[in-house]
Amino acid sequence: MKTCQEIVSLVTTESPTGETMWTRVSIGLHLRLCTHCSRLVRQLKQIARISRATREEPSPDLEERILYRLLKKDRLE
Amino acid sequence: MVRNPADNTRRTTTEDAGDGTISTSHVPQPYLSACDERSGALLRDLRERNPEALATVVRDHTRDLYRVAIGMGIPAQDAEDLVHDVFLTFLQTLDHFAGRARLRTWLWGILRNKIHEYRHARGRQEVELDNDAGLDLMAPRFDARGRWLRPPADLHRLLNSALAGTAIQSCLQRLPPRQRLIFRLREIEDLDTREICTLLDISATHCGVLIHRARLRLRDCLERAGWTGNQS
Repeated sequence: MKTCQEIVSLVTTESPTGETMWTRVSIGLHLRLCTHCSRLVRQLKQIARISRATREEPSPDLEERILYRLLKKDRLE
Repeated sequence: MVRNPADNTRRTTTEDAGDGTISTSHVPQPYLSACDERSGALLRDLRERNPEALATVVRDHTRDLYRVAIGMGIPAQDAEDLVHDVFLTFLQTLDHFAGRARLRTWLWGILRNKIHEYRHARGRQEVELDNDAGLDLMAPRFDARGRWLRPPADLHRLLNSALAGTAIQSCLQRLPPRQRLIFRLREIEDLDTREICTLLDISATHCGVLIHRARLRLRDCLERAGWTGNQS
């Protein structure tokens, strides 16, 4: 049985190899039972979602503008 | 010299790994469906200066390159020029691109060098190492048996208010530079962890730790801002 501290570390650190099936099951089970850990995870997901919503999108014609500049330069050379 | 990272996966989503984890899954990436560099046809057309081939590459890669530039801290007004320069260099160095590396990897390598040159030209430092390396932000919140001593406060009031975005941006500015950078690339620009590691030239393990610290430190900052409530 993993401790709350271990669960927090596992869900917030991105392991380069990914988690084993057993670890994933263990995390899922823990989060169903532990209100503190599940609250933390819920908050972190919400923070990520809100952060992404603040992202400034490039203008819709960005690709066309860059392409125009590249083709124009090609013609001049 | 253009780096050539061996990455062949693409991130799916941060939001829901199904088991509550924040970590993302990776799936093999059948990338470049529209411009199949493996066939060599696209490369041949590019070398012949075929405008349609160039349009395919530009349309497929511009948005990602732009997002990386923004995520790496390049101002929006300069990011477009930087991406343009990436394609220009790509066209000038096409003869060196043998087609063995993925086109995306090649372009990202050029972008990485362009960002380095950009910073160098403006006398800006590369993003330095964090000064809290080794510090476990969460350790004081647990007892010796790993149980919560100081559980996470309720942030319902803040995270559901119209000021949530501003509060997060404010806390983001207070993160150590590399954590801020990695949070932007990972959570805001939605990049794959392995691609972030390559861009920042750090190991996957270090990358994972920095993401862990950035997420928790940012959350901690929001908690300390005093917007706690008791509704969630």
